[in-house]
Formats: sequence, C-alpha cells, structure tokens
Amino acid sequence: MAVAQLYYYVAPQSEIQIVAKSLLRLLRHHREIQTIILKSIVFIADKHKQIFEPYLKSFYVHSNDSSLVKRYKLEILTTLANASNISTILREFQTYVLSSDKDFAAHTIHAIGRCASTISDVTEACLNGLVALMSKKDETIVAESVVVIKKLLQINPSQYNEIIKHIVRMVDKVTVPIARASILWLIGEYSDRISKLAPDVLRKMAKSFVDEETIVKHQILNLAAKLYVVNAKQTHLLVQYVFNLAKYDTNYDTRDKARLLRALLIQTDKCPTLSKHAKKILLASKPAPILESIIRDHDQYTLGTLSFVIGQKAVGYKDLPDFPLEPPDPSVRNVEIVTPLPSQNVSSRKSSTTTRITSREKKKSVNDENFYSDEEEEEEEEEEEEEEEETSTEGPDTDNEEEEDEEDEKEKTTQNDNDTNEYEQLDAQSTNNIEPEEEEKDESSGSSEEEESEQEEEEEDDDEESESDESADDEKLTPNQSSIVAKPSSTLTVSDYTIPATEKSLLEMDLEAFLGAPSTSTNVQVAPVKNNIFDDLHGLESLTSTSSNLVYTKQYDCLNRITGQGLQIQYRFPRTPFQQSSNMVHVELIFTNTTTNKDIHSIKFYKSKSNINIQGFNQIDLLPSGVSIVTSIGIDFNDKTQPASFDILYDNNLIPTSLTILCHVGELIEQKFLNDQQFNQNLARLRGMNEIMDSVNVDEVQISKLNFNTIQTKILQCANMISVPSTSGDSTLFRFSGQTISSKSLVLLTIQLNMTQSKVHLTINSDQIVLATMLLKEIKQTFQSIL
Amino acid sequence: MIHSLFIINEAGDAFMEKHWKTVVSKSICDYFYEAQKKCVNPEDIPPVIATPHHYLINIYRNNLYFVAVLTNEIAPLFVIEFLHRIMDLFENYFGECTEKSVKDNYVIVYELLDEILDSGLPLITETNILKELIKPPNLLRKVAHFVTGDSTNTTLPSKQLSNIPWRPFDVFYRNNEAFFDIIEEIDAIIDQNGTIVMSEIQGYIDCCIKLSGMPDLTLNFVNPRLLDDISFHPCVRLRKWESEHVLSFIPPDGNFRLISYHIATQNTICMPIYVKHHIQYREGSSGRFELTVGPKQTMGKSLENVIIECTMPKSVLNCILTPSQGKSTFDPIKKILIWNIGTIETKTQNSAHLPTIRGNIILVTGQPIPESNPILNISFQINQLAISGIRVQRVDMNGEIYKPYKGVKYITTVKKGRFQIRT
Repeated sequence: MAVAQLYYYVAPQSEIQIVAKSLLRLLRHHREIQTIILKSIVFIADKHKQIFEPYLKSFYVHSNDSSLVKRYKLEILTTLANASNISTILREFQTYVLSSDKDFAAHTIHAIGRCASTISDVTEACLNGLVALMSKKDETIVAESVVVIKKLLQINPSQYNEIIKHIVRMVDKVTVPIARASILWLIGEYSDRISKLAPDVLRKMAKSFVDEETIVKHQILNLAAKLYVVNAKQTHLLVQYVFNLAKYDTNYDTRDKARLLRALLIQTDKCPTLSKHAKKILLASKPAPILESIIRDHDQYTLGTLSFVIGQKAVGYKDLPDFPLEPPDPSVRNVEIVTPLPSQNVSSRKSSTTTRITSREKKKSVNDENFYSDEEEEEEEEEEEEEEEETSTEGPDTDNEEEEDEEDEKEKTTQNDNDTNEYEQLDAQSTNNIEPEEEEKDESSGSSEEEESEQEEEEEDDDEESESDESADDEKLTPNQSSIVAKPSSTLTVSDYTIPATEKSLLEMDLEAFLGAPSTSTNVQVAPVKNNIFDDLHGLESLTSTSSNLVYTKQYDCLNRITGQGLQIQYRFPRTPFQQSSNMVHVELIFTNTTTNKDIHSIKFYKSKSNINIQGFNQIDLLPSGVSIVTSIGIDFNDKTQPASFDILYDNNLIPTSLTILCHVGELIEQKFLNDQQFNQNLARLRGMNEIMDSVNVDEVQISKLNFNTIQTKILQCANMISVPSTSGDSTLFRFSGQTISSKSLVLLTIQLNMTQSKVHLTINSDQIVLATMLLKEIKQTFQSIL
Repeated sequence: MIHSLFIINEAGDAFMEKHWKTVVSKSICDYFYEAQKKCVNPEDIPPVIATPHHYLINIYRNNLYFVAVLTNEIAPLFVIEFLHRIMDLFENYFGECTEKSVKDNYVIVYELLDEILDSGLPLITETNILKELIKPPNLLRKVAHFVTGDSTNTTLPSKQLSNIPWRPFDVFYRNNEAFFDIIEEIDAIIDQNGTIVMSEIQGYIDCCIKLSGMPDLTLNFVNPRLLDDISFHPCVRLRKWESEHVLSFIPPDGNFRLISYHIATQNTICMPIYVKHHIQYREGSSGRFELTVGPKQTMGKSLENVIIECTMPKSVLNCILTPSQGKSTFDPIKKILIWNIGTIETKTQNSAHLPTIRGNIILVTGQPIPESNPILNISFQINQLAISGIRVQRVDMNGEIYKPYKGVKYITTVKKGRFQIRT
C-alpha cells in the first residue's frame, strides 16, 4: 500500500498502472483490508480511470460481501463506467437491483443515475430502466428510482414529458415520503406540461394533507403555490384550502411556510414589491443537481492514511509537502563513493608483517584524496594488526606470499588502487616461490618509496641491457603495450608490476635470466629445470605470451610449472559462446607439459570447489613433454566476478592447490546484436534504477583522435560487446550492446562525446546494476589511461 | 502505534485487554458497541471507527472481535494486518483462535503480546523465532507446571540469531520430507443462463518442509508463464524468478505459504461444475424448487464435498425437498438452505444419475411473491487437479547431502461464497 501511495503521488502517468495489479491482489485478503483497499481504489480510480479498466470484472459484487465492500465496489464500477463498457456495467447493475439487500439495491439505483448523468449515450436507456423499476412492488426500490429520476429530469427536462406523466400517475401508489415529495416537486416544476393533471393531483393531495409527512406537506404547499401562479383561476379555492390546513398544522415549519406563501400570493397588498415578482421567485430555473461520489471530500487527505479512511484529521496527521519548485542543492546528492578497500585484498592474502605497510596504507589513503574516513583507516590498521597475528603463527610457507604482497604494495603506491581487488589469480601462480627471493624480499622490505623509484630506474636499465635479446625487446614493449592494450585487465597490470621484483633477481643472476628469456620467446620450454630462476621469470614469461597474443584473448595463468610439477595451465577467454550450455562462459585451458622427458598421463577434471557450475573437459590421456594442448571448459559465473575454483587430477594425483579462474566483468558479457530501434526500446525500459552514468575528462587533442574505430577497440578491450548501427548519423554518439551470459539480461552502453567540454559521457543501462557499475569503472579507466 | 488491544466476544464482552502504553479505559469499547448495534451483520462494521480522542480499528474473525486502540495517525492497513497476524499466531500456537483457547492460555497470550509489540510497535512476528522464545503449550509442560508449580523457562533461547531470519539454525529430522500443496480457489459468478460473468483463480503454494540443515530448494514449473501476478514469501529469490522463472529459496521450517498468485479474468477458465436450476414461486403461497448438479471438464477427477447453499427470500416459510443424493437441511430462521451432496463421480454422466433435489417451497401467506430468485453459493473440492493447469516439473535440493522425500499435491477448491450462481 505504501508503494501504491508512492506511485500515486510520484510516478509519471505511464508507470502508475503497475499499482493496479497488486492492489487487486490485496482484495483477496480479509474483509477489513478489502474495505480499506477499495476505498483507496475509489480514490485512485477517480484520478486515473484507465489503470483499473482492464480489471473491471474484479469489482463485480458477490452477494456475501460486506455492505461497505459492496458500496465501494459499486462506486468503483460507476467511476470506471464509460461509453464502451457501460452496457456490461448496466447489465450487472440490473442484477444488483434485484438483490435481496435493499440498501444495496438503493445504492445501485443511485449508481445507475450517476452513470446516466455522466454518459449521455445511455441516459435514455437508464431512464427507461428506472421507469421500469418503478413498477416493481418493492417500495424502497420504487422510491429510490423516483428520486433518481427526479434528479435526472432536472438535468435535462425538455424531452421527457412521457416519463413525467407516468410518474404523476404513480403518485397514489408511492408511499415513501421522500419519493412522494419528489413527485410533487416534479409536478410543480413542470406543471406547464401537464396542466390538466396537475390540479387534479393537488386535489387528491389536499384530501390526504393531514396524514402526510412534513416533507410531503411542504411539497404540497409548494405545488399549490406554483399552480396558483400559473393557473390561478382553476386552483384558487384549492390553494386557499391547503393554506388553511397548513395554518393549523402542528409543525411550525409548515405553518411558517404557509404564512409566507399566503403573504406572497394572496395578501398581495401587504408586500406589493415582492408579490409582483412571485412568479419569478417560485418558478425560477433551478440549477441541476450534480450526482456525486460518496467519498467526495476525502481527497484532502493523503491516500491510505488513517485520516483518509475516517475522513477527518487524525492526531499527528501531516500533509504531504508540495512538490518543490526549485531543485534542491545538488551537493546533497554527492555521496561519498567508497571503493573496495585495498586492505581487504591484502588481508585476503594474509599480509605479511609490519607497521610499515600500515603506514603506507595510510599514505596511500591520503593519496587517494581522502577517500576513507578516519574510522575506516583505523579499521584498516586493526585489520592489518590482526593479519600480523595470523601470519606470525603460520609457518615459513607464507613467506612467498609475503613477497608477493611486497610487490603488491609497490604497485599500490605507484598506481591508484582501483583494480587491486583482482589480484588473487597471481597468488595462485606464485604460491610456491622459494628461497632466493626470500633474501630479496628482505632487501626490498627495507626499501622505502624513494628506493622504489630507484628500482624502477634500475629496471629501465635492465631493459636496455637485455635489448640485444629478442625476448627482452618484447619485455620492453610490454609495459607500454599492455598499458595500452589491457589496462583494465588487472592481471596484466599485476604482471606489469611484478617486473620490478623479477628484474631485480635478474640483476643478481644475469646469466640465468638470459638463459630463460629465449625460451619464453619461443614458448617451448627447453631450458633446464632450474626452478628458482624460472620461478622468478614466470611473470616475465606470462607477459611475453600475453603480448604475443591477440588483443582480445589475453592469457592468464592458473597453475604454474612448479606447483604443477611440470604441468603448466594457462587460460584465456576466446569470447565465443560455449557449445554445451548457452549461459556458461567459454574458457580455454592451455595445458603445457614443461618437463623435458616426462609424459603426463590422464589429466582430468575432478570437481568444482566453489558453488559455481563448471562444465569440465574431456580427459586428456597423454601429454608428451614439451607439448601444449588446448581444451575448453564452460563456467557459469552467474554474472558475478567471484573466481571459480576447481581441482584437476593428473597421473591420478590431485593437484595440491585448487585452480582458480578469475573472470573480468567484460568477459561475463556476450555480444548481442540490436538494431537502432530495439536498442531504443530496451533503453526506454531500462531507465531509472537500471541506469548509471559517468563521464571522463580528456584533453582536446585526444578527443579529436576518438573515432568509431578507436572507441570500438577500447570497448572490446574491456568487454565483449557489439556496436549498434546508428541511423541518426550523430558522429559523437556511439552505442554498444551485449547481454550477460548467465541471465541473458541486456547491457546497453552509450558513449557520448562532448567536443566542446572535451568530455566523454558513459552511460550503461542494465538490469544487472552491480555488473554494470564494475563495467563502467573499467571502461572509464580505459578511456582515462589511454588518452 | 497501537496503544491497547481488546478482544471482544460475540456477546459484546471484552474478556481480554492488553495495554502497551497507558491504560485506556474499557469504556472506549462503547463506541465500538454503538457501531456494532447499527449493523445487522457482524461483517458490516466499519473497520475503522473514529472517536473523539482515539481511533478504533477492529477485525472480525472466528466470532471474535479484535479491537486496537490508536491515538495517532498511522496506516490503518498496517494495524489490520498486524491484528490478523496476532490471530494467525494464536491459531498457530493453540490450534484454533477462539474465546476458549485464549482464556485457557492467558499466560502465553500475554507473553506473546508482550513479545510481538514493544511500546506499540511490532517487534518480532516471525513464528519460528517466537516459538524459540515462548514455547507452545503442550501436555508435558502442563503436567510439569502442575507438579512443580514453576513455569519459568529455564533455558535461554539461543538460536534466534540465524542469519536467515525465517529459518532456525539447527533443524534436524530423521525423515526429510518436503510437501507442496498447490491450492487453487475459483472465484466466479455465473448468471441465469449459465454464462460466466466473471471468473478468477487465486492460487497458493503451501509448503510443509521438514528438512534438516540449510537446504536450498529449487522449484521448476512446466508452465511458469501462467503465473503473472504473484506475491512471494520473503525467502524466494526474486532475481532468479525474474530471469529463469524458477522458484529458488531456503525454506522456513514447517508450514508456510511460499507464493500466492492470481490468474485474472483474461484467461478463460473452464468451470468444473454446472447447475441446472428451476425455481418458481406461484400465487397461493407455494413454489417449485429443482436443482441438478453435474460435473463438467474435470479431467476424470471427481468432485468432492459439494455443498450448495442458498439463502431464501424472507417470505419463504419452509422448504420440503427430497434430494436424490446427499442431505438437505433448511434453517427456517436464517432462511438458509444447505444441500450437502458429497462426492459426484465423473462416470455418472447420464443425466438420470446426476444428483438432483426437488420439492416445494412454502411461502408465508399474505406476503408478496419474492421478485428475485435466490443466489446459489457452491463449494466443492477437486483433488489432484489444479484448474489453471499449472504443474510442477521438478524440485531440486542443493546444499545438503541427504535425499529428501518430495511430494506435490494439487487441489482445486472454492473459498466460501466465492462461487455464485444467479438464478
């Protein structure tokens, strides 16, 4: 109900109809609820007829509804009546009239009257129906119909002489005072049309005057006076007689009225000015009455409140405020955006150690334009401390992870932490790093930020050193390229930043590094199994392979050679639909046997560890040394970016760590071609809550470089979406569409270039608003980083 | 905010009162009695009554009036819903909610009322949690109370802090069972000529889930498109329904209503029953009365518990009727004719065997002949058939290892007085 209330007051015309269904469902509840809901419906239907029209039949009355419910239903039916449905409603009304509940029947007759007065087409039919009702035996019905007819005739008296005559003949039969009074009034008012009958009626009435009710007596007096004015000759004596009777009536109102009329008509000498106008006074044209709804004055109260129901102001009732004419200060809408805390990532990976990190965190948070409130900072610190305790109890195995964290820390200091939340995958690859870096870690852990910049310089040097080599060439390109190609894909950025560490080890062990490098470039592992170094080089290797791959199919590692004891597994997203199931993301796994002389047998998918549905691959019987095999699996990520983890068996041994595949938001989307019209339709449907916007500032030179091709490339880097052909020819508007793979909900992206302000406006419309937010963030970064 | 609650019986005796804030004198009920006097039918009392200082909101169920006293502006629907909730709760605790059951369990009633409402605002209304806090009455506890004279709860409720508020934490059953009752109620008006004036279906899925642990159930329908207007139990994952038309939920323990749906007039419903009627009043204080009932399109299922109720006009003195099947009674004071037919088998298609009722109506002499014929209210039940054609395809369970027993039952029925035939 509260929602209905909101819709009623706030929603635009087009959306209010959704209220109807739910309100109608409420009608199935208890009687008391029905009553209140119906009352509200009466009120809403009054303003918005169209929304309840399809459900007209729900308001048909059952014979055992409570009387209030019946009345409200009747009211709604009357309100909803229009030229097209009036015939069914009237037919329904006719059955109600026959109902044994007399009160209800009377109300129905009133309702018919209202229909007749509002819809001119059926006025005649209604009148005829009502006249027919007058011949019924039941008094209340007859009386009620007379009253209604009187009102109707008053609205349009000219055409219905026959009916008036008919009614006049009824006067003897009708016994209910108000009906008699109505008839008499009618006769008096239209006496000119029934000039022969009228005096006769007066004669009859004069006979029974003494026994009549007060209201009837008044009307008799009125009738007498009117007839006297019109037809003084014939009725003079009769009128005198009636006035005399009234003079001795017990009711003082009657006596007063008689005295007034007598003075006005007969004793003209006492007030000459008035009596001249007697005819005008008595036969003035009366305005037609308006037949009104029973809850006419309740609209001053807010719908659905207690005051609304009882029709009076309850204690504590407050009116809704008027719509503000001036928009409120926009600054109040600026919500502080809390980005995912980097500390969470750190903690998830069991941060190593030291208050140094916390202090860095602090610095960083300062860097981040004070995104975090002080409290949050404290929380972070606390978290860190907790982590410390945890790690202290753990064995030396965690050392490597610590090393990783170290690297991560560096990243964070050099880069905004926006995409740090997706690093877990790297962990999986390097969990078993061993000794030599341990030392290095000690070194680097002592290093401050300044040192880091030095380190970076060193790295540059490194690159130059290795320039002679092919692979090193690749390396050098990689940072730039990858930043162009795949800034948003955080895994890559991670590998970007793992360079420092690995490079440092290179410094120490030049020779080995050069040994390793060629092997990576050719992608065939012939190098001796000197694990330590290769481990270090692992990041390098993945880098080279990535950069050599297509832009859209970046490769990520999920099992490194050391953990897999020679078996290496990488994965990539081919962005083609998965054959077996349409709502799974297609992932290609690349198995490589990196050993020199050992074949690996029977690799098979064991089971999914997380709750994510994974379609495994067929068993690989034999993987000879140095050979790579590509298989496909399908993962139903369920439109979430939670990593999927699963176990793989080979040589009938379970790989100790489960494999984790992390999906970027863009990979959760598949292309869905929409034409211009479809796009607009769906866009209209996905407004409001389903829309998020953002804009990126770029400088003028760069915005001029943006054309369809560049934008499409950028989008494709982030997400698997297809462009929508534009018919408008607007060169600053680019649109892309896609749908999520699991739930097939549409994702619509609109890019609007604003040349004058050199801004790029991004808008995403989707049901999956969480996904859309992440996607928007990635796309925004792409635009920011490349321009 | 609800200030006070009075429970009043048919006789107009406020036998129970509860005040959450200041005590409101019982005399406030006089306003209620006044309104009650004005109405012939107890159902006709307006649900909201305004008095000079207070507002009374009342509900009428099981021959009891629950009257809530308010002083401030508050959404009346909220109060009504809450009162019904209290009644549901009592029914849940005592099996029925009558004057007797309330009087027998005064202690628990007050305990409950204290728990569900705090200073006039609803607090805990979820039955499962309440049952943790306040144990329902049973024989053992009665005996223990009788022997020891001590009725305090010795164990503190521990498990109410489940992260899923509708499910207690450590449910365990030896037999794991899940039953789904799909109940559909027909709501229809048929006019003299047998044409359907209006028809609607109101459906419910009532579940009785007795599963251990934290099961995650998924319910697939054969034809989910039929359901377009649904209200869900809070446990149902809405997103899943919208995207896949699958009901996925972690069920509460025990009995609950999973969804209720409404199939509106647009879809035509084939009526499973028809009635031929012939009612005539004749001059000279008598009349003929004849009814024939037959099944129609029931897919081979038989109609059970067929009852026809007919409220005769006031001028009818008595009815002398002989049914070919079942039993008929006429209450000469309330003028209600009840014909309890029982089961109608579908096999008896030939009209000779269809249940009929024939006889004479005796009218009060001197009274005018009634103008309109009475309205027939029919109720019946068809087992193993959902009239809208909805079917459950499969029920899956995740999250637990055991194999539960799963059962689905279909019932088509008629809510009292919602299936009417005008004659």
